[in-house]
Amino acid sequence: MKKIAITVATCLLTILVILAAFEACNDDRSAGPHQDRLYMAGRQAQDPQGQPSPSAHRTRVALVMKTLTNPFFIEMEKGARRAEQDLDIELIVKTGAKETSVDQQIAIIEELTEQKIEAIVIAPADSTRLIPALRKAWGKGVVIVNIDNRLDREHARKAGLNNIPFISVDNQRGAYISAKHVSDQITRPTEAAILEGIREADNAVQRKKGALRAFRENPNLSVVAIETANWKIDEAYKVAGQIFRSHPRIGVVFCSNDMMALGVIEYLDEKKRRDVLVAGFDNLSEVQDALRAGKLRVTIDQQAAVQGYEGVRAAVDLLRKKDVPAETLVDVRLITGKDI
Amino acid sequence: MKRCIPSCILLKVFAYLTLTGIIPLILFGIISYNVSLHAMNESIHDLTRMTLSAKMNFLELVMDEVESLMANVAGHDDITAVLKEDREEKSPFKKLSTQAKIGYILSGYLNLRGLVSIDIFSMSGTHYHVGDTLNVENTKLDRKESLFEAARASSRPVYWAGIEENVNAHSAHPRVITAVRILKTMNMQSLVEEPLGLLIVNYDARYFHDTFMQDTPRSQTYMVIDSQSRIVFHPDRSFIGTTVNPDFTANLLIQKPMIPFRNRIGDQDYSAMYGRSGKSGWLLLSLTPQREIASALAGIRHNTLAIAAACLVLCLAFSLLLYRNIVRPVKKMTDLFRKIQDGTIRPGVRLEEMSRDEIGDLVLWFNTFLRNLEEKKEADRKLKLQQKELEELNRTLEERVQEELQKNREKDALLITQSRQAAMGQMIGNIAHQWRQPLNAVGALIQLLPEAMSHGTLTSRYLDFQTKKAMDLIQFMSRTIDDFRNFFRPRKEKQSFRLQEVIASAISFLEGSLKNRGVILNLKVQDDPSLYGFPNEYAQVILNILQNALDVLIEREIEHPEVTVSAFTENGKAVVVIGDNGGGIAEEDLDRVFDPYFSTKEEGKGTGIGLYMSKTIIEQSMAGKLSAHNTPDGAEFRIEVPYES
Repeated sequence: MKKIAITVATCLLTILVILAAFEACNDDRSAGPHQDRLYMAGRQAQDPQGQPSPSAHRTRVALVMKTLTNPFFIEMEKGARRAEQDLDIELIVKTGAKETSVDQQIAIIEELTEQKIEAIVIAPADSTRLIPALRKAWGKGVVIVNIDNRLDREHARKAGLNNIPFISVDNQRGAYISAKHVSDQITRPTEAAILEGIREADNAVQRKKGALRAFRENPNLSVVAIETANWKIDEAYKVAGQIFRSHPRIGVVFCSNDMMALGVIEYLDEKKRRDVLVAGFDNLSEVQDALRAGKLRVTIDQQAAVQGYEGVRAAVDLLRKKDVPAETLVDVRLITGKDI
Repeated sequence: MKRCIPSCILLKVFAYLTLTGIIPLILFGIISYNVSLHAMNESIHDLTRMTLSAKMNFLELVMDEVESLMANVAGHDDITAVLKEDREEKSPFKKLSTQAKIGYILSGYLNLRGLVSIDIFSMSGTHYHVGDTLNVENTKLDRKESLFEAARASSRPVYWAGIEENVNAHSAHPRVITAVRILKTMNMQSLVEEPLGLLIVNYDARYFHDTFMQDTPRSQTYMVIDSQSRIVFHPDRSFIGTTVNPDFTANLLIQKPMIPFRNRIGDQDYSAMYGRSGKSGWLLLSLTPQREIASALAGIRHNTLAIAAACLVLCLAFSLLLYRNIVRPVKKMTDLFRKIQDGTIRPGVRLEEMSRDEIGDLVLWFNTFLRNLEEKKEADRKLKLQQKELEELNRTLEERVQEELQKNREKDALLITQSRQAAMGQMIGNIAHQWRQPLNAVGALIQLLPEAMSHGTLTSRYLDFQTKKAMDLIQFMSRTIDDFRNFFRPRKEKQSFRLQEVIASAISFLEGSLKNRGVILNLKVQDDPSLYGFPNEYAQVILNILQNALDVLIEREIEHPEVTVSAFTENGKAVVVIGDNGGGIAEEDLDRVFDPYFSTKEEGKGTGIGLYMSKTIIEQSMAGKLSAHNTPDGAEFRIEVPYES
């Protein structure tokens, strides 16, 4: 009796032990989420703001600008970055390589659309050629805000791209007061030249108009050359050479931006011409020396940072279903050597 | 000890079932678990090896792209020319136009996806930059310097710094994957390579994370660790940029690359494998938690356990069934056997018959056995009782025999008395028959006397004659009375007598009756032996038989009734045969005619004692034999008595 009882008990115990051993295979499940203790010496070198993770969704807005090389756009980016901070969004900054890199801008817009960006704030290099790409993005629900250079309204309307808010300065007025400032100093008959921006760009057109208007108001001035240097410093340097070789008596030059003005000044410096009055536009920090030295008589501060800031804010407002004015004009300020 | 036997069977059966059913099942489960685990480990190792190779290839590809980009930039004549002319440039035009020139060039390389920025620093510190921001203010020069030093120390043209703080403070990517290359030129005078500047390429850690993450098996963790033990890639982004314990990487490097090994991290076991990038010296590590493998195999374990549990339940159920159907009946049977042995079994106890199987048969036969046992016991009990009675009987037998004998004697005496009285009655009837004729004759003689007187013929002589005739008749009658008296006087002493005399004496009593009834008596006496015994009783026997014959002949109204009496000797015995033609005795009555109180006569006519008495007299008093049988005509009685020689 005893023997059998012991046998049976042993049998059952064996089974239990086997079962327990079998079940134990799974016991290390309990290990918890203390993963950083596993192989981390400690979480050092924390990110200042932490890496934004895609799961913690923030509004993604892209700022698309024209060129890497114009400090004007650095200012614009700074303003936009401030808006990024203030509005707690994610800002992606994209630029074409050069002022003329229209195709690159188109490619950037297409890529952003592909990446399902929520809003694009664009300073278009060209007022018409970018419309189809923007229309496509807009059709996919991307909010578009136009800054700096206005898109061609007629083309936009035809393409079905309506109600795009526009933020910029009054380019014609800015050019007018800039040109007017140098024009007023001309009392003897003098030849004048205008360096315009990209001719397909609305702001270039507006600035040329403003400058022409100012020059024509002074009967002593005769505009002998209107050339484009496509907003570029080095191109302006070359174009200046061509103009001055043809018209050595030119005494007044209006440049549609400071970069081109710097190119012209460089040429004049080389030729030691100190009698030519140069007017610029943009008030880059790099022109301060020239202003001080009188090489550049005047420029226009168009508050690039404000434009950048307002552009991003308008985009975010639209995304948050707020009303945004169709057109916001930022004040322009006349800057001369006295203002420094 | 006896009591435990049934439960022992149950335990044995349960143990056998468990041993043969559940343990093999569990063993099978364990074996298949282990085999599966092994196979799974193998395939996971293969998968890991493949994935690790693919990831390594991907990493090297990205590095290749970046490195070739950097080689192109480093070899760009315009860039080297600008860097060679490197001097403190005051002119904004020069500065801006150079920036623009280099910017245009670098911008062409920015198309590589995942690039955050390309930066070139000249030896004097001029910064050329393209990337996700235009703003290059507040560049982290100390970072730049340390990268420059590290790159200089590196033997490879491109130094992969790892996950680094971005030198560009305004970039949206504070942590980037950084590759550094020192741009050099050959000094034509000294023929020594001189540094021209520093090329830094920042790659997007997030983009790298997203692309590297693709096609990663769900259960595995892949990590990329740079040469300074910082995590370049981790599935959890928040780990990127953090530093792992240097001991951890040191321990990894003890193991061989691309060979799986076990690694315990915290309290979890991992199957680990690593590879090392030749370009950067970075580690690519794969971790597969063992519990993932275990949980993938949980199905086998759970199913095995479930089946084992089910089997256990079935075993229990089967054991219970076994207990109910086999063990319990057997146990009861054993109990009953013990009770039978002890003698404490109650009568009428039966086992419940449940099934029709062998156990059912056993129970059936056991019940039959019980019933038989009970019957046998009952029979034994009765036998004992009877034995007891018998003993009692034996004890009182003598008394009873004596008693019975006495009773019989008394009965016999009564019977004899009765038969004598009956015989007397018959005798009186016979006397009446014998006396009728003489009385009539005496009466006629007396009547003749007055007639003779009147006729005058009464003479003395006539008177004398008549008187003498009457006196003769009276004398005859008186003698008859004497004869009767003698006949019925019982003799106490045995005496010798002659057979013929006795027969004649008996017949004489019946002569009158026979004549009156017209019965013919044939008397055939051949011998006359001398007998010793009681003559009157012997005569009474003959008389009895004759009387019966007479009664039958009268009763049956036989035509020509006849009675034959033969007397002769045969084998030393005197034989008297008395036969009639009255039709005989019914066959069924033949054996009983000598029984007392048996009679075939009408009620009131026969006593049933006559023949019984006759048999008693012949066989007991005279050592003879009286028998009866039928002849063709009627009955025949035979009296055999030994005679004196």
